[in-house]
Amino acid sequence: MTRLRTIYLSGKNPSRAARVRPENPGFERFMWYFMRISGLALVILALGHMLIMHVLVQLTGQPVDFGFVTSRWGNPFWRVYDFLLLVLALIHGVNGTRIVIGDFVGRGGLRALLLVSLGAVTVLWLILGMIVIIGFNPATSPAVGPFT
Amino acid sequence: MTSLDRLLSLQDRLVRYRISWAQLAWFGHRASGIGVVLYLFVHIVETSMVTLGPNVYNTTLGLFHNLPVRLGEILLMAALVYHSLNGLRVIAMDFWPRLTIYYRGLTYAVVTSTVVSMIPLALIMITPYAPWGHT
Amino acid sequence: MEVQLRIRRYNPELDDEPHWEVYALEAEPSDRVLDLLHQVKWYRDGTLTFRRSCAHGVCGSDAMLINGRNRLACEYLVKDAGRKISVEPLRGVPVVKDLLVDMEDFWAKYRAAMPYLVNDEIPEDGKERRQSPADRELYEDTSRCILCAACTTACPVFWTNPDYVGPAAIVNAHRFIFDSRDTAHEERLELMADADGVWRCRTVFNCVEACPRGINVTRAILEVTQEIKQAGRA
Repeated sequence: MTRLRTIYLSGKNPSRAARVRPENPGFERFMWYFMRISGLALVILALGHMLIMHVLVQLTGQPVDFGFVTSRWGNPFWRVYDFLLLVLALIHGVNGTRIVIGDFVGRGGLRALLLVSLGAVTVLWLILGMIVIIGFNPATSPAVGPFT
Repeated sequence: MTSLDRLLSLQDRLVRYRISWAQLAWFGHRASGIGVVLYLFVHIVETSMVTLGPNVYNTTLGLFHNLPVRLGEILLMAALVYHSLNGLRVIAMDFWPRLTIYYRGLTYAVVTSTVVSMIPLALIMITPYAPWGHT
Repeated sequence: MEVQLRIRRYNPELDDEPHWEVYALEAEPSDRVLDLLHQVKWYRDGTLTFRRSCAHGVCGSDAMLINGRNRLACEYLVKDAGRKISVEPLRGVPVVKDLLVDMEDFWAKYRAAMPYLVNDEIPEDGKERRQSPADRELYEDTSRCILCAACTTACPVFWTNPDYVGPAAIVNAHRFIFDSRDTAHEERLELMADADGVWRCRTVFNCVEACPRGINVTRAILEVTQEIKQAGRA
């Protein structure tokens, strides 16, 4: 229950209403800054990624395949780039989804369920993505897989 | 009730508030954002296949090499370009509230630059499936 | 000229759902939409219910959804509205009857902004609290609010999330936050720095387009947000 909502329901003037702690103090403010700063970074990171993967590759005629990823992630710069892109884009996007849920779904069980599932899925995907970007090693990956 | 009346009453139910460009810009920001997030979740799984070796990864990528997916990727590019430009507009107004005076002009600028920049990008991206692209 | 006035009517004692009723009326181009509503109420159907007091754009009683946008019926002229005019109650608030909406929730949110001057100190000369013209200018725009609720009920976030305090309450918080004579600055910032306060604004600008007083509502919200950031509030 947010502090403002407690005040509407009490029907009293806020200076007279019981002082309640705000819900998650500082969180919305932090996220407000995070969305804007990560947004600025993602303009460069995400658009850069799309331009390389879909436009420059097309113009130079390189195929995107296993070899491409191996040579790309052989360079630590691209690993750091992709790692930043993964973390910032995922948290930016998931927080955006949280905001949309907050705007459209009223307080109650459904909202809580949606937010908890969103959080759980995000943690899983974030860990998966981090393991792949940090741990990928072409020498140890199998040469043949279940699709051969 | 004539069919025209029925159509009008349907319109009444759908359009209860006149849409302005700024409201459309907000809606577009939301829709493009959700679209990109959904793609991101698929993309992370797709890319993680790289740890299973060249055969699995190349086969997975092969599933994405067709015209419908390519059209989707062009849409993704448009969503990202629009979300970026509109996001810059929102950030600019957040840090300089005085800029809100020009919100209409800024909105038109965002929409126009998205459309203009998407023309060459879409043409390059569609090349492998276009008549001029077979090499 | 003849105009077609469509009114979304609802009588809770008779109707399950609101419905449209169409009235063909004779009107002058310089007539206001409010004059058309009077014509219906006085000569066609006395049960038509709506609020209006001053009828001159000052009291803010007759905000309604006219031709798809929130406006004051007493300020919108037939020559601007055209021959087909549709009138509906404000969106996002409960309809009591016809165009009359329940404003209780709106006032509760207005009260949450502490819309009154707080200052218990005795002025220096014992008589008046002085303010420079430059300080007065800071809240000139938001001091023009007439509490018609056109902005809050035009906000898409408010439509889907009625917990949002809404633009009108933030405008009135702004009016006192930027008043150099007020001493409850911190307290108001703390109230507005809430998940249902300024952080729910998505800069859609529907409020700016709806405000009959031409207040730049979004700017006021962003200025309060900026003040909150500078004060280091949650």
